[in-house]
Amino acid sequence: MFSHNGRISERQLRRMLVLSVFAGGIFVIPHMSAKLFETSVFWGFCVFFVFACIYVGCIYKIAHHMHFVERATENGFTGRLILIVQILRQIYRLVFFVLLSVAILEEAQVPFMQGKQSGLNLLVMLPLMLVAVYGALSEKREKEKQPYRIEKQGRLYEMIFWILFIPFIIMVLFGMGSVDWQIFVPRYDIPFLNLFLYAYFMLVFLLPVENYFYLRPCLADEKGQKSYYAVIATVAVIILLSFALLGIYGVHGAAEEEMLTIAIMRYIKLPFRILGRFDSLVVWFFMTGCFVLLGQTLYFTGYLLSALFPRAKRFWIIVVASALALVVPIFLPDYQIMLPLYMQYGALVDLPLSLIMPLLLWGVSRASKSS
Amino acid sequence: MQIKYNRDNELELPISKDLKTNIKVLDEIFTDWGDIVKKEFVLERDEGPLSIYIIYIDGLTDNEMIERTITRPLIYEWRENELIQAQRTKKESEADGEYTKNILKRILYYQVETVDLAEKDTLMDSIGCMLNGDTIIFVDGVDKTLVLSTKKLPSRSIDSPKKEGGLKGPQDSFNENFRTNTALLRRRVKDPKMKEKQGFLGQRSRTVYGLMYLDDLVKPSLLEAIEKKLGEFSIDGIFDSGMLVHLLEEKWYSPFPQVQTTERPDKAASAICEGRVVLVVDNSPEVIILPTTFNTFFQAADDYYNRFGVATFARLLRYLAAYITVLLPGLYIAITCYYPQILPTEFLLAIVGARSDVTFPIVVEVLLMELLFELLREAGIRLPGQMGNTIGVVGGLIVGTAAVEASLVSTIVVIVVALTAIASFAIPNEEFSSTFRLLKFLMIFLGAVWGLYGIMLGILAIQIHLASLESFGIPYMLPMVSGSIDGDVEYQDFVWRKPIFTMRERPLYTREGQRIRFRRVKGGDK
Repeated sequence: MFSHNGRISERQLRRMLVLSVFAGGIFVIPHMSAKLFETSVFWGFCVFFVFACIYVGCIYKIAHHMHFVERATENGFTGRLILIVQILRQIYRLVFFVLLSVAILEEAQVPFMQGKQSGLNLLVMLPLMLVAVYGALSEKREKEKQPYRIEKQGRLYEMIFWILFIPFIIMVLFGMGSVDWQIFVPRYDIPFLNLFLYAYFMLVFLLPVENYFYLRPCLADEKGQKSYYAVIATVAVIILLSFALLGIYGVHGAAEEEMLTIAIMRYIKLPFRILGRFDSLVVWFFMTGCFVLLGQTLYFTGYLLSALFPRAKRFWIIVVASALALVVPIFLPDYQIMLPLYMQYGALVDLPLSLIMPLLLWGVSRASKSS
Repeated sequence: MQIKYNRDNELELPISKDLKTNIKVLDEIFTDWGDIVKKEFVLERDEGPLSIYIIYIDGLTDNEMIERTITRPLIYEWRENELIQAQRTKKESEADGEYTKNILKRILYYQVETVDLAEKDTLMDSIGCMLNGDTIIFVDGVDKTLVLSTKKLPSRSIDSPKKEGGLKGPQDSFNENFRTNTALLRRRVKDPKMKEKQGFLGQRSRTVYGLMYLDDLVKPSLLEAIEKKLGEFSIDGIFDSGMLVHLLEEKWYSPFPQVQTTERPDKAASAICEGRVVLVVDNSPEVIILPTTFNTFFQAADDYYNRFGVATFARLLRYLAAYITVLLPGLYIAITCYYPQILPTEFLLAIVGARSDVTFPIVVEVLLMELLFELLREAGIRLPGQMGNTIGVVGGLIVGTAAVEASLVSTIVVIVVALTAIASFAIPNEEFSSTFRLLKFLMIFLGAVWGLYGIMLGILAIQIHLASLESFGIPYMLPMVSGSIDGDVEYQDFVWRKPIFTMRERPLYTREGQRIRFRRVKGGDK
């Protein structure tokens, strides 16, 4: 039997990465691109795409040379320190995703959330978090130093892949008639340095690619490179969809609208008068996106915590991590205030650390081996 | 004499060489057994009398066969010379144990006119066979018994499938007789490599089971896992394959069946040819197919007898039916309660108009009708044939119409519930369909509490659960998950059922190196 081997297929890995990149990017990138690049959005996206290719390429290159968690657990104090840093980064990301989810659900008109009372909203977030916990939980320990029940994760994201993509692509297709094609005419009226700086800032939303460090050792066939191209293709899809959304809403309108992806749905009409409005129905898509972000981040937080505390029960690790992620946002400002802060933190701390930490670990590991 | 049984309810007494002792033990065991038939023959000969004791259970055996093949030959056609020879041999070979072999051999070859017989070494094995309808012969001076297959268990004749009917294909089904069921499979798979590993389950019921599989196709690890699982429990009795199903499932709390049962021999035979294992259980009109996946529950036997386009369309309908069964009532509640704005205005007005006289909230309305439907269904099953149909008509038409006229429910809700009910019957497997009907209530609850948000939460939770399910090491959601492992072969028989000649490879259950099941023969020469 091929189950219980702690391995995932190349397709599963690809879909896990693609889903997290798509969900992490599609809600924020259209709005942020309009806000940052304004009318130079064409060139902005070009630079962003090049940066994305380089960044994802770096992650893949480093990951091919190491089993992150194995190396970290082998390297004593330094390894543990690196693990702690990674865990803190994951938890911070989890907290931001909780805030993002609250904002998404508010905008997607989830019942009881129109009041914009964050306490109540977090209570409504609880069932979603519980589902994410259920998704991240494992039942038994499979192999040492392999993510717990990675097969379950692989299967889950393989299944929900189309739920996330199909509705979104359908609704954008229906909205194509309203696109102002002027958006595709390249304009350049932004300082050169800012173009690069903002493109770099936008990379923050591709940080879930980092999960490749933890997923690659579980790959059944390690030769495949398809996932790299899949991630790049996803970035391209996000860019194209962002173009379409900006084309429908206009650059200045999009810069004002925080949740552009959701707001746009109100203007999309289905043919044959099937539905009066479309926006509430695609709460399915938004929900799946939130679930992917929360579920995967929670899972990898749990994985890293388990590696740090091998004797601790994984159930409690996940419960504590999710409780923390639910409670901390109560004391934080709203998503609208947090988004620029998160981008600054991401660009200055998180993004560099996503490359420095594995390189440091690799260096320490080599030094200890040679000594 | 006190007869003692061990913890597994098994006798540990040996068969004595002294027939009197054996008879005494048997008398003690079968005290107050009105249906036991026992007879001691004393065969006179020069060297002295030779005692033989025959015992069987009336009703489980073929009396005519016993009379014809055992009793009559022993009494009237006793070959005295052979026995005299045996008696002589006894003196010469008693020391090296040859006597036992010779006397039994002579009875086997010369006296008993049947080929279906065996020797048993223990009293427990002998009694076990007797309880299955065999006849036991004890011979004085021999510490073994002869077991003659004289089973004629009461059973009904082969009937047409009741739950898995189809317009095309064979119309026979399994019944409660173990041997009939294995014969129905043998009739379809005439391959000497089809094995039938037999055993029994249940300390008291001693229910016979048989694992049927093709030796060259089955994965040894699968067979090993099944045998291990069957050996993991001890239970009083197994009275139907349904009981065994619950003991074989890895996740008992899951609403989804993790092993498949079928009453159709053609379906079971097809599973065997795919490298799966069929578990035949005595007294059960359904066999168990192992392993199974979510997708196999949507496959009906006649899918393979119909043209591929028709079969594909039918499967699409079944998948759609499953979604309708689970989601429609919940979605109706969620949309009408929380998101009426997404409906086109005319349709919304129609709903409002239909509900204008209804006093109950939508949730109560839906629950009322759903419970009414479930009640009617349950009543229809318990009532005999014609009455069951009457209940359906009375319930569906009269009660439904009356409920609408009395403004208890709206016409839209009747349509929603009726559509859900029809959809639930389109799923080919009743047990599987019940799962969806159960989940429908969860969705109604979630839709009523959280609207579409709740429905989506429910869908996600179900998907997570399904992702974690496995059936003997095979992911339950194959080929939707892990399908790429075998190069997407599993997709050939998914929603889209490919033409038979393009389904060249067997599914993933099959042993490596044995995957090809169809090939073109050049010039029609095999």
